[in-house]
Amino acid sequence: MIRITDVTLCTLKNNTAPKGKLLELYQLLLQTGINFIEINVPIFKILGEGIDQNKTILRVQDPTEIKYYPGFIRYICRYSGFDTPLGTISEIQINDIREVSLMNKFSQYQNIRIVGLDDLLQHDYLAIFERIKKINSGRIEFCPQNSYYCATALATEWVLNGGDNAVVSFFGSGGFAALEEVVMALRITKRHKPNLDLSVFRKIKRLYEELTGENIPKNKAVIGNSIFEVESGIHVDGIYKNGSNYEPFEPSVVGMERKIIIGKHSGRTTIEIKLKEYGISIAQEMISELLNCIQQESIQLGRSITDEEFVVIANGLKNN
Amino acid sequence: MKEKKYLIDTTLRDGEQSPGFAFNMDEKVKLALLMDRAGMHQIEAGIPAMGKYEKDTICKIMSNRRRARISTWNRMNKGDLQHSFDCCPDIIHISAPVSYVHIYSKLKKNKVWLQKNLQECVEMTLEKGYIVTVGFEDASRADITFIIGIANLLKDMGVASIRFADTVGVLTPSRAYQSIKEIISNTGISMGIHAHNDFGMAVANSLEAAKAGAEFIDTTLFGIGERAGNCDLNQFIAATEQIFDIRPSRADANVLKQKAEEILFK
Repeated sequence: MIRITDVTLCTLKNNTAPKGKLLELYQLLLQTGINFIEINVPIFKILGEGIDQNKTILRVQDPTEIKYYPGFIRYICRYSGFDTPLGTISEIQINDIREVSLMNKFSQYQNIRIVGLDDLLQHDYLAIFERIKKINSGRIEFCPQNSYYCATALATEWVLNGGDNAVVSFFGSGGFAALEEVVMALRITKRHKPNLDLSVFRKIKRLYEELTGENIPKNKAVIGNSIFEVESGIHVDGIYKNGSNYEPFEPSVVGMERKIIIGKHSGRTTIEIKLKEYGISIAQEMISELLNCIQQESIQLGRSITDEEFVVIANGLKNN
Repeated sequence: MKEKKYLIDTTLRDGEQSPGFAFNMDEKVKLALLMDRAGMHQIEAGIPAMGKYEKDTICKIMSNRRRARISTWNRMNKGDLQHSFDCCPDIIHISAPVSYVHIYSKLKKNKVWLQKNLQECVEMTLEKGYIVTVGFEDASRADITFIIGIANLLKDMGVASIRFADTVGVLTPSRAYQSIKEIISNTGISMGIHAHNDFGMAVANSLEAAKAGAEFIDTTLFGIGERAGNCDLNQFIAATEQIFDIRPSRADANVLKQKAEEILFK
């Protein structure tokens, strides 16, 4: 059974974030189909009773702290040599595959989280996954780190190859596998759909940007503002016939809409769509000339053309 | 000794298709020169069928090039190819849709038409003395047996390599590995990978394809490209420099990125 833990809140550097915003983020993250949210003690002190302890894992510095914060579904603590209470996840850092043999020390532990293995994809990662599962038959969570830009791939492959428990964060915050990427990849490749509607990603994105001061790039996978903008004539033509020709999933799944952009790469289909949209009638034989004007203007400006600019150009041509 | 892999930069083609980018001649020529100096193996310079301005730009890139091979991208039609011939590139790339979704739904054709048309286009181009590569568009959603059949045909015709395009960005690393491995083991043809980043796995998929034997990897500067973009050049080099022999080096790619940034994000 797939279980995904989100650690976004633990990666936020702003410990003075307003309770309302943090709680809102907590609640929105739970709507993305993940199973658990991890928080730390400072975050718990801010959120208080607003959380659902059945869906929350508490990170402690030391197992002796657990007794002060009862009621959570699970606790996690970085392994430091002390005995860990049953049910507590021991977190171990494994930086590269040469350290996998260190796991023999934890062969009897029932709950471990492996953090790291950033470069695992450079190796026979499937064999390493099997080796890890052989060393420890308990509950293993994999939390790949992203210094080689492969964390999402590693988390996804872990789940696709029988490793049920993976750790993610929104936008890969903190250098982990990106929640939105793993959730969508599992949805499309494994039909894992605990939540049909992922439009909540829009709100989470805005809230995350507000809380962190970061701007998520407009072409960021799954959540970037421009990922469903399309300009290339070949793509517009294909999408106009059937969205699935060029889109991995319907934009509405993630609360977005497709948008046709006019520019250097536009083709006839775009021009015809836009002429119809703005009620401008132009002779068929003038479409090529209009396309040429659009291309030249786009190159001159060094960007796409706005719809307003398009209307001016089209009307100008029509009236000449 | 590390296995050699070759990067094909498609910033000037797929990258520029990303809404908001519209390079003028000067900018494209400068970018090509920067890539060439950095040691890029191949530069996909553009789509000649876009018109005279694009063709003039590609011709200028050709006249400036030092070591990089310059290629043009073409749809699978003779009109596009004629435009490419006007530019005299080093390599002519022909893109052929191979998924049933693309053949039947997008083009409203059939497999027989696809095969016949592709053969004619390839023959026409080979006869002119060009090096030809063929892109299997939407290969990640295509029937692998169909792909293998076409690939064998193309190999016998003398096509230099096949590009496995994950046009819609739905590949996973293990599927990328398995697909490339299966095609190579059944055909022996040289292969490349063109990955899109819709699930944030373009670098990972390209890495796995390379591990499976793909010699050519398509990249773009800053990972720009359709939707969530393509395989980011600098990220790919960082992820693979320990296991493959690749040019540009990480240092040269970082310099390229810095200089290109002023042009791309003016």
